[in-house]
Amino acid sequence: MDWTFFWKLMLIVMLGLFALMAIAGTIFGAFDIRRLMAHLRNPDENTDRE
Amino acid sequence: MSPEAAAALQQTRFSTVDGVIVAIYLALSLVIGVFVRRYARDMTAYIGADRKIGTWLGVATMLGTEMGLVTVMYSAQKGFTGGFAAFHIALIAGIATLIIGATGFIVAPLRRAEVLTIPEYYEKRFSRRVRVLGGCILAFGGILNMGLFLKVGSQFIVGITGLSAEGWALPTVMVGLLLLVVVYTALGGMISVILTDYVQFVILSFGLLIATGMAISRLGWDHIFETTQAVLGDAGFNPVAEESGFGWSYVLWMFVTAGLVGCAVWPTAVSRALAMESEKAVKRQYMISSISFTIRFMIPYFWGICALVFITASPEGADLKHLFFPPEGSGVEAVDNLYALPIFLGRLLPPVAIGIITAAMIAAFMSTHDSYFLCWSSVITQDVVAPLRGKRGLSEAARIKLTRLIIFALGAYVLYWGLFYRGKDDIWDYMAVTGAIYFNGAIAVLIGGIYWKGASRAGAMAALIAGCSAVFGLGPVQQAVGLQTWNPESEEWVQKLTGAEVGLLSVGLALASMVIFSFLMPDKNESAPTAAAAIN
Repeated sequence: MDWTFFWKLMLIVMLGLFALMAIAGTIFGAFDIRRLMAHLRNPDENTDRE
Repeated sequence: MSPEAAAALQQTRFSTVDGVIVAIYLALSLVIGVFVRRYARDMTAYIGADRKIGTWLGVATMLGTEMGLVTVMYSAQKGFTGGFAAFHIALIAGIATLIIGATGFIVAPLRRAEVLTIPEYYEKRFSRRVRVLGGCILAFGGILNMGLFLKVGSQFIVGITGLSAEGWALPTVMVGLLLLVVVYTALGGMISVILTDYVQFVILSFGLLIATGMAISRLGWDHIFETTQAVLGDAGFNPVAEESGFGWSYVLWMFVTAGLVGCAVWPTAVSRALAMESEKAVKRQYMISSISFTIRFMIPYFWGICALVFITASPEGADLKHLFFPPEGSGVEAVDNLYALPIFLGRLLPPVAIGIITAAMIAAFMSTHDSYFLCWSSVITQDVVAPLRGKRGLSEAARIKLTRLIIFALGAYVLYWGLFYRGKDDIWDYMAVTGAIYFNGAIAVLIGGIYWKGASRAGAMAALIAGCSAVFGLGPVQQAVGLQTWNPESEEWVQKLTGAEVGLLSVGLALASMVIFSFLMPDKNESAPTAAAAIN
């Protein structure tokens, strides 16, 4: 098994996926915070999505 | 430390601008803690954020919690000594998290049970005694586990900023960071932990990517792999090669620790699953987090490898080579290789970037500390003190107050440990063993409790006690009981069983205890806290 090639490939793929995750997490995480704060301000109101 | 080594440590590009960036970030964390204090009105809000965490916020907080500065430091140390062969741990962690996300193994039934802590589940499924015993063991193993966090984290700060590694700087950094984390965690509980974790996620993610890009650009992609091959040989790539320092038993042990336990049994990770808004969100959170569970090991390993290349094969790091690798027989003591990463980053990154990376690493430091403080303190309050008070109980206000007091007590313990601990353990192995005191028993109790109707209280108690046998993996304990013998010729301790082998045996013992004692002593009262069916 060519370990060098395997680890090179894994490094490239995971860095790419992580970059996408960082962008998505930053944007959608902000929306989740807004919803959480809305719930904490008015805990009796239903703020569920599901 | 020699004057030459101390001088080498102080060569960094960290400037006043970088200090300002770090100060702004620290102030922001404190403001969040003070701001959200008013929302911590009961224990569900204080330690579970009212179970209203959305998928992406869950992903952010999972990375923030599980990628601590101590993770970065010990992983970089593994990369520095083991090369790319260490990547197998990252691969295992990612695959295990993906499988847990796809199947919901352990975490989905726990979320369905609507518990706030793992020992609370023990009571629902088994009995109050199991909960109290499980809570005590969990808190003991967990608190011991975080003993090295503060010191190792502060070593990074001192290394990257060029402060003196000896004298007043290290303790001052330790006290300052600790005070900040303790205050905002005690004030806002899980809500402030989640919000600060989000800020930490943003800074940490982009910081990791920027520093990795700069390291590759500076050292050269091919040069990194060629130098690793030249310095470490095939063992620097093949994790089961004899000289790699890993081997099959180690890889198997990593399946348990970095794989199953890291995402599905370790309480700080599970507490995130328990705070999610739905079971579906838990599964999505884990599927996406499989990327961060891989990255949290892989990038620091890679940085450790880059530090090795920088020190052994680049002109800028030439003055460091004889400090980290003194010639044999010279009588010179090598500089602690934990300093390799911060020194490398301190010389690699330009001003402003170094401020952002330092803030990111402090973010990693704080996001792990806050979660651990909250997790262990809430377990002691909810699962040990409150159940022991029986019918007298504890009011919500008293529980929050007690949890806050325990957070301050834990802070004092961590500071004491950081200032006075002088052990020379490999940090990752120390953490795996101390963590195993809790999780070896917990694996058996959770799997048995959730998926086997025949699991009994006696089986759960026996498994928890059997799991404590992992303590025999610790160096000083091994020496005391004869599992390590002193070889006067080589003047070093020789292990009869490695920490990994003890850990695997201990997991087997806990699982066997659960099965044997459940058959020998089944539960008689079927109407009491009941079976897997209640949760499945």
